[in-house]
Amino acid sequence: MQSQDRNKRVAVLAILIALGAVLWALEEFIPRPIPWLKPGLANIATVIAIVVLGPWDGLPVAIGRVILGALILGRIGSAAFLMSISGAVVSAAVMGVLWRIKAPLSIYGISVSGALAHGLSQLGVAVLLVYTPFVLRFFLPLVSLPAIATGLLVGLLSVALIKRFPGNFIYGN
Amino acid sequence: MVSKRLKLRVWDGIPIAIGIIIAWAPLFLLTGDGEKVGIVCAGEIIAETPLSRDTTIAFESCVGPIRIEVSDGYVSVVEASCPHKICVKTGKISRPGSAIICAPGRVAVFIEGETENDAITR
Repeated sequence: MQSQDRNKRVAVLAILIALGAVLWALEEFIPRPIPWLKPGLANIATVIAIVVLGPWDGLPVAIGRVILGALILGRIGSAAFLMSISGAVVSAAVMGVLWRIKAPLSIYGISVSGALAHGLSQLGVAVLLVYTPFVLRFFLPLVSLPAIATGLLVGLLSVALIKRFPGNFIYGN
Repeated sequence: MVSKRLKLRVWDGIPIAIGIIIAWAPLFLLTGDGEKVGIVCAGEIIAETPLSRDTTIAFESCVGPIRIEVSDGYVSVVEASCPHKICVKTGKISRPGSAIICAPGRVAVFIEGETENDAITR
């Protein structure tokens, strides 16, 4: 029984990483007004991993999907890759902690927090890479305001998907 | 435990509010160490004032009185005694690195601060 449980976990984790990587790569092809504004749909995979598997399972999904996605698009090791991985890891960690401590937030609130953490850590890495704290003035509103919208969108889609999971699939339910 | 967290809650307003606050933060945090207006006449510094504070500075240039106004983050020479009034016609400046020059009066008004890049190429 134990190993069966473990197998199921591994399988779900793998599916989520694949889902995240594909969403992340597909997102590159969505036309967008400003290059750095992405809906962050790949975070759906992280949110689902946290909810369905456990608070710390968002991290492997985040790391896995960024590496896999970067391999698909051929940009591993670039500045954009560093920004992606920091954003994905920090947001997975923030969402995991919020889920673990049972913060009185719904999936929407957790997803918005994750989107904010994602954008801010990407901005932090960008500032470290080019060292111009000056850009913060313009980028903070451009990062945090869309993050609220994309966080809500990701929350909505994650909820829609989680509702379709069979009840016995969700750990700790 | 999961089912309770599928619907939007009142507390979800907290991350949203934090996001909105962060968006406005630069307005409050970064204005203090912002740009300064420097005014030089005949090689001497006449005045140095923050661009964010509205003031009027009037003094005697090499050709007569000159009046410089700082308002709403813009600097302009509003009155000058030079013949062609090029400094007045320069209009309002606001970007760090830009300047108003009055050659006959030997006056330079410039904005000090972190200069924005026009572009970055890679």
